[in-house]
Amino acid sequence: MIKIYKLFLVTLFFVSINSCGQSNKAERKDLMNNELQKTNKLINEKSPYLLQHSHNPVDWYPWGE
Amino acid sequence: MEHESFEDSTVAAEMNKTFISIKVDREERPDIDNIYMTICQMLTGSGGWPLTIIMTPDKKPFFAGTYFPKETRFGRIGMIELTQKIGASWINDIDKINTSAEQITSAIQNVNDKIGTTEITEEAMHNAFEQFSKRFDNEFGGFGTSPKFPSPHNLTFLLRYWKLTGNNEALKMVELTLSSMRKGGVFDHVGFGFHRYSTDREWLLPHFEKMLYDQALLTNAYIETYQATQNVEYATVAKEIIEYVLRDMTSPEGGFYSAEDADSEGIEGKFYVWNVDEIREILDEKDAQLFITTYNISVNGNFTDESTKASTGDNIPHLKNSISEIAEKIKLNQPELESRLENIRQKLFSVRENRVHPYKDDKILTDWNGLMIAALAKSARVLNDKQIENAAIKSMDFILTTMRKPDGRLLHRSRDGEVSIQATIDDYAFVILGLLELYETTFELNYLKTAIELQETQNKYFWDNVNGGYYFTANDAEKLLTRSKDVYDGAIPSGNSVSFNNLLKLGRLTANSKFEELASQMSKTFSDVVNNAPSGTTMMLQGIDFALGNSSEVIIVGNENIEETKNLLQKLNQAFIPNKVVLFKNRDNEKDLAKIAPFTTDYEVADDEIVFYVCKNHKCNLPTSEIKTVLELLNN
Repeated sequence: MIKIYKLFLVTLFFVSINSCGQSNKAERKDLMNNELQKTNKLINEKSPYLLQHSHNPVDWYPWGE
Repeated sequence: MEHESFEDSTVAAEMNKTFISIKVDREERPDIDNIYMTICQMLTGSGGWPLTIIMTPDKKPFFAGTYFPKETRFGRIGMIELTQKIGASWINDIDKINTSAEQITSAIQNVNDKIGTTEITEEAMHNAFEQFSKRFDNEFGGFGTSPKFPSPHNLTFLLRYWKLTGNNEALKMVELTLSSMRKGGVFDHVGFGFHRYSTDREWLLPHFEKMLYDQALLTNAYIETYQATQNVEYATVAKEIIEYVLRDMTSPEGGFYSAEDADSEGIEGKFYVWNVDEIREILDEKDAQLFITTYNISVNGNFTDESTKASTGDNIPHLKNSISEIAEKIKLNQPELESRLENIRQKLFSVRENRVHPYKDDKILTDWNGLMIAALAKSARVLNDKQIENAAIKSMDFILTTMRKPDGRLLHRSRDGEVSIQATIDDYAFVILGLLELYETTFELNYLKTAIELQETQNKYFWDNVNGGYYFTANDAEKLLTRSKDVYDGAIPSGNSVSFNNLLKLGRLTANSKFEELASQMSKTFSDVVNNAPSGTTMMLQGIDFALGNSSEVIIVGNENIEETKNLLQKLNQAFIPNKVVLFKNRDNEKDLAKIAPFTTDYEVADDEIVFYVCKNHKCNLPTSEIKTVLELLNN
């Protein structure tokens, strides 16, 4: 079960690699180079796709208990 | 959506305030994707990715959609407004949300309780053919208008339909589709391999992503079409795809990587396109002109941007005519033209290697590797190519040693030294397919033995004892909303369809009736789905062709090391006889083979000769050493 404390909803985004076509990778790289950029909980994953989103400001969780 | 919303601090702040946001890689967890995609289709009437699901803390969904813009526009709600509205409802209308989540959950749980009312018959094959005929594009091949997907299992079904009925229209559909795809921009003319799909009717402008499973399934389609037509151009395409996979998509241990992105440096297709100045800079004047004419390169560019419809000056190399037609037109003999074009290709390739490459998804997935191994093993025996055979063997070794646990069960994904995630039916079905192909190529009995072991494991953990068919997940897998069960053949064939074929072949190879009984049950379980949408279940129909049609067991007895054996096998392997299984018995393996296929004890081994028994459902013809007779018996 997903632990819920002060938050109440769960959102799932399944995004295939297909959908990444329009994303701006150069810009993303700049974001990643920024040392102040936070990481979210995807940073410990192995999936290249999830790792690509480990520096989003959205506080992503991986699927899990 | 990623860049527009998920990298945006305003959207992120709203989402972080309201949701616990979870991101799933659908290739790692196809089981999760499968269930929630079904829900999205149920709720909205359509699906696709990115898939967005909003659900309660106990995983019950109450809202589904695909793409959302950041701000609401043209009546399409944006992420910010959506998040705020859902947040408010969660406080004010929680009962409504819970009721609706319960209803949706119970609807999805009932989806799989249906069982077919009849059996699948040959009628379904005719109906599938009719459906393809109606949608076939007579000018450019493929089906429908745009976008056009390769769907190679539809083509291999049509080959079987042609073989079964003699209907030349079916073969024509396959040939026009495969030759147009090879000419089009959907094929990478400089580095080989196919892109994901074409955005247009002409196969010109692709979505540039390259997926392992497309390479696997298309290799299989081209090699089978070569068998069916004996036109060596199809064999060449299969070799080209394999060259790409072995060059760019193979790990040092022999496993195959998953995909290459469409974009590099932030621009889709940038890695793959050329402008005229570049071509003229890299090649001398004569070669530049030849390349420009042959591959339809122009100063303004030969395609328009998909969204803006503007010319970009960029070109996707593609052919309008076949090489032989071009040779005739420019009055060059074909071998000379081919060798000049190959020389040019290598120059451009080495320049392109210095560009920023698209991102490679280097996770190794068991199911997709199974498909690639199957394609390589089949190609190796058709082309009589040891290097391809060794690649298939090496990859299978990797799967069986790395992706299989000591208890014999498979895992789904390997990356960065971590092997993890419980296998689904696809992992089992596709690896068994690879093992069966590899057995027929090498006659190494261990592959057949392992195929049987894995099939038994799959039966134990995935079979639905009540309604028949295989669930997508094992009975001890993580509990999701439901255990889905699917037979639809989409971008890749379904685990159930491939299992249906595997079971039929295992049944014939071992004469163990248990396998055919399960297959027969599957034909009942899925009959309504297949009969209602036959062109969406063409892998299943390939099994029906095997089960109902003219299928054979070939038992070869003798010494595989004599030259005569090799020659005969090569002839057998080059012919298009999809509905057969082959066993090889010699002095060394007769005892072990008897354990797997007890009926083989009836056939005596002689050291200095090679004998073929052609049997139909284990009723055998007189033995023969004449390949002509063998082929006649198989084709009758």
